[in-house]
Amino acid sequence: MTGFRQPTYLGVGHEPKYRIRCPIHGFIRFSDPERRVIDHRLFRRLRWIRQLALTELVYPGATHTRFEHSLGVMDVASRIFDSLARSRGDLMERTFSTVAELRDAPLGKARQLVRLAALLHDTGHCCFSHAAEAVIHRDSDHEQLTVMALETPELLGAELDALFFHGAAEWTAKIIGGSQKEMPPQLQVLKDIVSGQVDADRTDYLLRDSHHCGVDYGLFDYRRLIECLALREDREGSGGLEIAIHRDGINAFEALILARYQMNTQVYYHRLRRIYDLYLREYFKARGGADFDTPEKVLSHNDITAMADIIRDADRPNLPQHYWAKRIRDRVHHREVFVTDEDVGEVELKRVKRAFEQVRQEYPNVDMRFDIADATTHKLLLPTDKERADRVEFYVLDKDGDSTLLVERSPILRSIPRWFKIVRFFADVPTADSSLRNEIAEKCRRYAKP
Amino acid sequence: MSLMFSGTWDHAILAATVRAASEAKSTGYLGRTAIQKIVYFLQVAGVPMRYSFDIYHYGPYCDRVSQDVETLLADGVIQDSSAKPDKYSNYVPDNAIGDLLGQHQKVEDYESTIASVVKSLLPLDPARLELFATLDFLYRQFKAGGGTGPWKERVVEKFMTVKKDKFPRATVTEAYDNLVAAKLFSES
Repeated sequence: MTGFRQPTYLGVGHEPKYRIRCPIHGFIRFSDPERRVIDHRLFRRLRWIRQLALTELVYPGATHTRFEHSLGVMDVASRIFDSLARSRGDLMERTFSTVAELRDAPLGKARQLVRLAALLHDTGHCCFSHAAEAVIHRDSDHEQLTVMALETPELLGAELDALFFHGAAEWTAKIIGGSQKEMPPQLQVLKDIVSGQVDADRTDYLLRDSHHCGVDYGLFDYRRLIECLALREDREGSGGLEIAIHRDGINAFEALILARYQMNTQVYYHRLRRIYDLYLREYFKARGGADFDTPEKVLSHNDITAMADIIRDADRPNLPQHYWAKRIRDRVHHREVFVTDEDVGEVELKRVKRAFEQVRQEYPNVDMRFDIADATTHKLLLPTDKERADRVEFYVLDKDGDSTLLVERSPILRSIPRWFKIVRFFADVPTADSSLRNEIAEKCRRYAKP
Repeated sequence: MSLMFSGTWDHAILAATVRAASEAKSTGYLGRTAIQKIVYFLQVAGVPMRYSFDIYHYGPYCDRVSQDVETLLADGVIQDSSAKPDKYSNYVPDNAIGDLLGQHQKVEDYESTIASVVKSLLPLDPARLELFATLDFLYRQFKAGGGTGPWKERVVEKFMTVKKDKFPRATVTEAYDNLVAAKLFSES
C-alpha cells in the first residue's frame, strides 16, 4: 500500500486528548484548540438551535440541536478524510502541497481545515434554522453569515488563525461558503468531503435525525460507504481530486440516496412540519424586521429566546404576530386538504394555482394557505439526460483501474426521483368538522384535475 | 391573489433581470442559457443572492436558477414568449411582476447594476456568453488559489483543457484580452 498515510495532526498541542459522547458515533475526539472553538460563544449558541425547528410537534423526540450535529459532521468528515488518506494519501499530499499556505504540512493542515469547516458549517444559523431563514435573513442566508463570522477577526477569524495557523479562518470560510470559483481545484475535494455527493453533513443529519425522530428512513451503512470511497485525479486535468467509489460500496451508496429521498418525504417535508414552518415565517414577518436587521442581532437570538417570545406573544392579542404565536404555542393548525404528486411541473403548478383560487373564492370564510416544497435527492448524471448542465458524473472504480458511471451499474439509482416538488393546500377547518374538510378536499381534487 | 409560489429575494432579482432585458431593446433574447450567465455575472458584480454556481459542461450553472424560473413562469411573474418553447425560450415580464417587485423594494438599489450587466451581455449569443462566463469562473478560481499574476496563460490553458476543442485558442485568448481591457480582469 504505497499510497498509505496515517492520520496527521498539526503537531504538539493538537493531539485529540478530549472526548465527548455522541448518540450516533460513540466517542468524538478533539484537541485542545478545537475545544476552545467548541467553547466559543458563537459555537456554544448552537446548543440552543434545534436541528429541525418545530418538527418536535410531529416527532416529539426531534429536539436535538445543531451543536451535536456539528460535532458529528466533524467526526464523519475526519473519517472520510482518513479513509481516503489510507489508500491515496500520497496523491492527497502531493496535491495539497501545491497550495502555498499548505506546503509545509499538507495533510495535517488539510485535515484540520476539513474538521474546522465541518464543525463550524452551521454557525450562522438563525433561530429555528431553515424554517424562517427566508424571512429572518432576507437577502442573505446562514452560510453567508457563517462566512462573515469566519472572516471577521473579532468574531472567529483572529482566534482560528491564532489557534491553528495563519489563513485557517479564510480557508475554512472558503470550504464552507465559497462557490467552486473561489476554491482552487486542488482543495475542492475538502469541500466535497464536507458537502458533496457523499458528504459528512448529509451523512450525519440523516442518521441523527432518524435516531431522534424514531424513524428508520435515514439509516444506511455509512461505515461501509466510507470504507469504499476512492480518490483519483480529476478527469479534466485541472489538478484537483475526484471522489469515486469502489464496486463494493454501490449498495451503500444506493441506500444513502434512498435515505435522502425518504427522509425528505417522511420527515423534512412532512405536512405538519410544513404548516408550522409557514407559521414561523408569518410570525416573524408580522413581528417586523427590527430584531434581525443586522448580523449581530441575528446571532443574538436562538430557539430558546425566540420560543419565549412566541409564548409571550400568544398572550398578547394586540400584537400583529399574536395570531401565529398562539397557533404555534397551542398546536392548533390548518388541515391539509390537497396535495399534488411529488413531481409537479410548471403546467401542473399553473393548474393547481387556478384550483386554489377557485376554492378560496367558494369558501371565503375559511382561511386557506398553500405550500410549495421542493428538494433535490441527487444530481447524478443519468444515461437518459439530454441536459447535462448541473449533473454530476460519479464513478465506480474497479480493481483493474477501469471506471464506469455509477448510475450505469445501479438500476436502483436510475429509478429514484432526482428531485421532488409538491404543493399542498391547508384549510383552517375544525378538527371535529370532517365533512367540511372532506368537501373542500373533494373540490380541490376536482378543480386541479387536468 | 396573483402570487402563490414566488416571493423570495432571489425571485425578485430574477424578475428584475427579466424586466431589464425587456427594457434593454436589445437584439438578443433572454433564454435559458442567457439568464444563467447573466445571473452569474450579476453575482460577480455584487448583487446579493443565494445562488451557488458550479462549472459544468456549458460553463457556470446553477440548477436553482432554472427551478426558480419555472416557479416565476407558473406564477405569472414572467412568461416565455418564444414561438418554439421546446427549442428555445425568451423570457419577458408577465402580469404579476409588479406584485413581486413591490414586495422587494430594496431591489431598486441594484437596478442600475442589473441594467448595465443585462445591456452588456444580452446581445451576445449563447456560445459567447459561455466563453466569457467560463473564463471569468476559471480566472477567479486561479486567483483564489493564491500566488501572483499574470494569470492569462494559466487561465487559457485550463480553459482549453476543460472545453477541449469547443472554442479555438485564438478566440479564447482574444476574449481574455477583452475582459482585461474592460478592467474585469487584472493581471497583477
